[in-house]
Amino acid sequence: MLLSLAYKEWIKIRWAYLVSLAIGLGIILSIFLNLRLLVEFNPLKELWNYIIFKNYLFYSQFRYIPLVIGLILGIAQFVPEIQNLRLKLSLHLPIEETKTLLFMVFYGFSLLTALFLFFYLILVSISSSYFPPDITNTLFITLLPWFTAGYAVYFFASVVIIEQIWVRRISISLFAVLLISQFFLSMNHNAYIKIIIPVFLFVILFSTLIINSGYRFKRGLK
Amino acid sequence: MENVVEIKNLTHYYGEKKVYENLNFSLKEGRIFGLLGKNGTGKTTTINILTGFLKPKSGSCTIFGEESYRLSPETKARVGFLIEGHVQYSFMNIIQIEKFYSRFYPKWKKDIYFELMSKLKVNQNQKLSKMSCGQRSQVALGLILAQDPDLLILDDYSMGLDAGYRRLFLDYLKEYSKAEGKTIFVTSHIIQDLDGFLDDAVIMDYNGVVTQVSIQDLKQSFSGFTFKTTEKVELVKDDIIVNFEQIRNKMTVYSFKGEEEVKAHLTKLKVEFSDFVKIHLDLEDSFIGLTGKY
Repeated sequence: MLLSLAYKEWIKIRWAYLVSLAIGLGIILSIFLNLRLLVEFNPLKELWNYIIFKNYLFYSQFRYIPLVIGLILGIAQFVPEIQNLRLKLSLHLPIEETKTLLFMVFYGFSLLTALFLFFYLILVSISSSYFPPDITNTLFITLLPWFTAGYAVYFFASVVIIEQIWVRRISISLFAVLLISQFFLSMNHNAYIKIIIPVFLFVILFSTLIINSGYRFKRGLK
Repeated sequence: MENVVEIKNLTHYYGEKKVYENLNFSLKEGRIFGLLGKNGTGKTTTINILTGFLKPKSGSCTIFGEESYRLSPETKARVGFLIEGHVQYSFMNIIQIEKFYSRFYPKWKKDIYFELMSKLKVNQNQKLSKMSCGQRSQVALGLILAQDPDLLILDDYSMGLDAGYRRLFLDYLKEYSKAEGKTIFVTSHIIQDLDGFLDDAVIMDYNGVVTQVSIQDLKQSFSGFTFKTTEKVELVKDDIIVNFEQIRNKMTVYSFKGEEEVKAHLTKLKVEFSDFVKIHLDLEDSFIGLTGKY
């Protein structure tokens, strides 16, 4: 049954997923071409210094990409469910309702993870072909807040779209904006190193908020 | 015969606005049951409560003995639900949607679905969103029939359908339900279509339930009478006169009583009448007779 649910979710979001993939690859290609130009016209040592001491991020263009992708997937996956109250069909399937809702979010989370991991590995391979391991090693921790923002916007989009009570929709959206903006406060390498893992785990907890919105949808609360 | 659906003392309000109070009815196994009412009388509210998508203010609604808002997956598999407007996963095509649903239902009947689909002149890769309302209704019906549920809940199946598709829908449904002994709960705003289809009905008005009867009993016991009267008659509804309507000097009276009893009652009320005629009522006439035109 869960395989069947996954099938439905995939049909719903496959184009949005491919668009997200194209956006990410397009930006990474642009990052790669810019870097090649930089390498071509600057001594590599100078460039390294610039990266290490001036906190230059050669991949800063990628900053908002996970956020945009999280939003695209959230909208593509949950707006069709709420149009004509189609979610009723999903909640009437012979599965526990909580399981259905959590699976939908888990499925989106898994696809986001696959995409983010793919982008991360490409950026790692670009970085490692020009820079020493010390620079490449900072990539994960520097990218993680942006990826976390992508997950957060996805989770909040699912909740806000399913939610039927406007006051809650607005409050959750405001909270989401406030929380997500925190991930873009610093552009330094490893800026969030001390807090990002617990914050990431905290954001993952927001995946369960859909249960509350789904419950209110189910009970017809408006 | 077991009660498939039981609604007891159901009361619901939207804010301060009362939808109904103490609604009671039950639905017996193997019967086709219609919930009839004008717009705004609470048909969709009842369907939403019945399908667990609305919590009533008070009272209970059970399906196969389980509270409707807490149905177990096993019971949900026994209930086929047609959402108003034939809502389905319109981003899928007819092959994808069959593949999707078939894995959820152990008794899935692929043949009946594809038999219905073969009547549609659509490409198998055509998304539901690109189909006409009538074609979508056939997809939704095919999916429900393939599910092979014991209870079918159909919320305004006729919405947006032309006469041909409405007839096709009901013909299939009737053939299937009678052959398989299924229980059907249906609402529709086109009551004349349901004549000859329903076994029982609850008729709702703005103040709640007007009556719950078997259609056979309704046809046998509920009558309309027309007569000419010479004056503006001030009739009131009572135990004998369920409803009445006067256009100039022509009066129509509806009653569960026989011709002689109605005549005697009119005489007692000192109503002058002539050309007294009993009129044949079909289901729609009876509905209008019970609830009025307005």
